[in-house]
Order: sequence, then structure tokens, then C-alpha cells
Amino acid sequence: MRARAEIVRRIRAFFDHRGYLAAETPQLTRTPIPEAHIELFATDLIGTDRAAGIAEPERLFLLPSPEYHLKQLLAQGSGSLYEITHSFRNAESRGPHHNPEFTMLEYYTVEADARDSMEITTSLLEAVGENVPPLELTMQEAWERWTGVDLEATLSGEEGEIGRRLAREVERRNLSVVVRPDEEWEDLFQRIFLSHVEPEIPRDRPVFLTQYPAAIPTLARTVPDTPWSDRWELYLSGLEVANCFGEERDPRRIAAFAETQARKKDETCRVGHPRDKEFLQPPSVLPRCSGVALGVDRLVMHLLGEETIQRVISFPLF
Amino acid sequence: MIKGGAIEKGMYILFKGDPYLVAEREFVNPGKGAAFTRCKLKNAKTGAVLKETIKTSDNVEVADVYDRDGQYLYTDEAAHHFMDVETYEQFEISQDVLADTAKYLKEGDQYRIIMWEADPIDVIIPMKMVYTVTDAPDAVKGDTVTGATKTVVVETGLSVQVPIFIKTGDKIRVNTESGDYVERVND
Repeated sequence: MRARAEIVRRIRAFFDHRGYLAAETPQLTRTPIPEAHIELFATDLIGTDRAAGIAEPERLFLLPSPEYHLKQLLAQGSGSLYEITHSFRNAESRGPHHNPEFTMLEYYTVEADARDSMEITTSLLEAVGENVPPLELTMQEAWERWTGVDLEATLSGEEGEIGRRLAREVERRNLSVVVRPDEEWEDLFQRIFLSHVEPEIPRDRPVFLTQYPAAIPTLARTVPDTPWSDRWELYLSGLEVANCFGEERDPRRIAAFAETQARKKDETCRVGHPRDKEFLQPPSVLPRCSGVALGVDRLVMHLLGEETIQRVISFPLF
Repeated sequence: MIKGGAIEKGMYILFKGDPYLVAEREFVNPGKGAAFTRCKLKNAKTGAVLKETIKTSDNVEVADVYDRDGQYLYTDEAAHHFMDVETYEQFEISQDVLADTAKYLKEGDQYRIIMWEADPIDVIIPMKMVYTVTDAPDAVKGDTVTGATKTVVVETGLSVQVPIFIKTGDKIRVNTESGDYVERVND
């Protein structure tokens, strides 16, 4: 616990020293951003009414990350900011890498893209005691090396055909993943990635895995004239620890993303919620910026050489 | 049918028409995107190992396996031979299927055999078993370092690292998952 406290102190000092605003956002909200695969914790706000006694309770949600509020602060002109806060995700699989309540570090840098965030993150890693220099690997290189698949060629051309092209590659390369006839190409992509690429990521040094397919819907901007989004993920000891976007700013694309996620969420999640239709819509437009969401518990695990998240959290649920 | 998120290590699932043992299982919930169960699956008929990742919300068919008891008789080039002690019926399990566990089998002992359709597909070895040491080199004179070990061979042909005081004819308990020596057993 002492070692953990020291790591968190160094993170704060790192951002304070660089002039980032130490933001404090709420953990309860009426309208989280819809993300199709994140199940939320819901709770009831019980209001009191002098005349009628207890009024109809109002449904509130524990936030799965501080992204929703931090982006609104950025749109209001906060400048670069960071926050270390508890985040909540329901219905995640139990195991050595998950706790339903976990500590998230998010930092947004204005006038920056994912490349700038990578440099900042490399300095942050040094500041908390990581002494092995990181390796940068593109998805294209990673897929070529461990599956033989030319990802760029597979993703180029008609989007509706990506699934069929991926399925053909599975057969051609004799990859041990069974193609399901009814599945979306993103799921097949993830299953190949998780079976054949992610386990091969070097564990002996930090790895920035860059350039994710732009065809996977996220709030990352697309790198112009490429099939890639301005995005990376950081792996420490082979475990996914951080996700970074060069942020999408176009209000129409943000609204369209929220719309499709909300529709999908009706099928994938049990806990439904109302949506804030004004999120990052004019006049609250996001400045050019890049944000990183980093799992503090996993960072601490890596730095202290611990195998389970339960070893670095004071009161784990499982 | 179960969901991909309910897959457990040690379970048998049906995959491409064959029963597969779930040898390793890990849940992956990426920060962005859907959740998956990453597995290593061992084909119970051929021993071939596959890497497969299954969406936690997708359906998976559980293989309808059952148990029977079988006495281990002997092994030849083709297979390991067992007998049902009640019916005296003999049956065999191919070398490929028991690649890792065969060296723990003791002649004459009864084991729980996992069956699928009419075929035996696996043998359950108890976590710890007692073996007799058949070949133990003498301790090297002057070798008095604490924790020093040597390699001995037991009646099944299995080699085990043991403390230097173990002699030929001693009985030792062995962990059959790791292959490690546990303790000397006194009759």
C-alpha cells in the first residue's frame, strides 16, 4: 500500500508540474455516454416531498470512466487536465485482472494527438519508475508478424466485405479460430487478435500498439487518407493498461457514434439509461486534444511485479 | 448450451464436432469493446491443442461426457490398455490423448475414465500418488548442502527430483500436476 501511494503521488506530481488542471468530476450521473459493451451500476436517488412523503426515486448511474465529464470540461475551455478517480463496471468477468470498482487515471492534452500522448506517457512511465524503454508496434506489423495477415489489404475496399476477407485469411493461414457464420467482422477481428496477436506481445518492456482499424467505431479520429484511427493501447507485462485516442471532435460523428452505441446497447446490456443528446454538440465543441485512460491498479501491478489486481487493491470485492 | 462467459477450466465442450478439454481459460474485457473468453482447447480424441477466443455472450455446446472406472493394464506402441473390472471388457486410449499423464499410470490401479459417446477420451489421475523408487543413485559423498537433490526413477519409468536421502525401494508421494516430490511415505 505504501508503494502504491508513492506511485499515485508521483503521477499527481507529474501532471501538476506540467500545468494540467487537477479535475474532480462526479461518480454519479443521470446520463452516461452509451458504450454498447459496458454494463453500468444503477442506483436510486430517493427524493423527499413534504406534502407527499417520499417521491418516486430517480435512477442514477455510477460512471464507468470520467471521460464523459472531463470532455465537457475541455469543451468549456479548461485546457489540459487530469483526474485519478474510481470507476465502476458491472458484469465484467471475474479474475486476476478485474475488480468492479477500479482506479482510473485519465489525462487530456489540448493541441495534441495520439503521438504526443505517447511521448507524455513514456515520460510518465519513467517518472513512476519504469526503466525499460518502450517498444512501438503498429497493428499492421503485429498482425503480419504473428498471423501472416496483411491487415491493411484486408481492411481496404468495401467495408461490408471485411468479414469475408478476414474469414478467407483465417482459412488461408490456417489460424485456429472458428469463423461463426452470423458474427460481425469486429468480433472475428477481436477473436483472431486475442488468440494469436495479443498473447505474443512482448512482456519484457512496455509496448505501444498503434493504429487500430478506423472501421471499428470509437471516439478516436481517423487519420486522414488511411484505414487507421489515431489510437494506441499500452501493454505492460503483456496486459492492456491504457487506451489513447486523438479525440474525434466532429459533433455529427460524435452524435452518430452515440446513436449506434445506444441502439446496440439495447441488445447487449441489461441496464438501460437515458442519453444526453447535447453531449459535445455546439456550442460545446471539443478542442483539438488527445486523451489517455490508464488503469492505475494494473500499472501498480506491473511496477510491483504482482500477478493479481487483488494484491494491489486494499479491499477487493473478489 | 452455455454462454462463452461460463466456460470453466477442466470442462469439455463440443467444437467442430469433437469434444475438447478446456485446458486454459482467461477472461478478457478490453477497455473498449466486447468481452471474450480466451481458451486453450485440447482435442480429446487427437490431443491437438487449439487457441480459440469466444465472445462471452455467444453460445457454446457442452460435450456430453460421462465417467467409467477402468483398471490400467499395460501400454504398447499403439495405445494404453484398460479393463472394466466388472465386465472384464478391455478398451484402449491412444498415446496422443494421454501424452502428459501416461507416465503417472500404475499397472493394476483403477482410474476414473472420461467417456464421450462410446470412446474413452481422458483418464483422471489423482492429484498426489505414491510410487516406489526403483533406481536411486547413491548420494555423492561430501554433498551435504541443504536442499541438495538428485534424480530417481520410479516403477512407472517416471523421473523425479528428490532429496538425497531417498533410496531404492523407498516409497515417495509425487504431485501429478507438477511432477514434484512431496514426501517420503512410511509403510
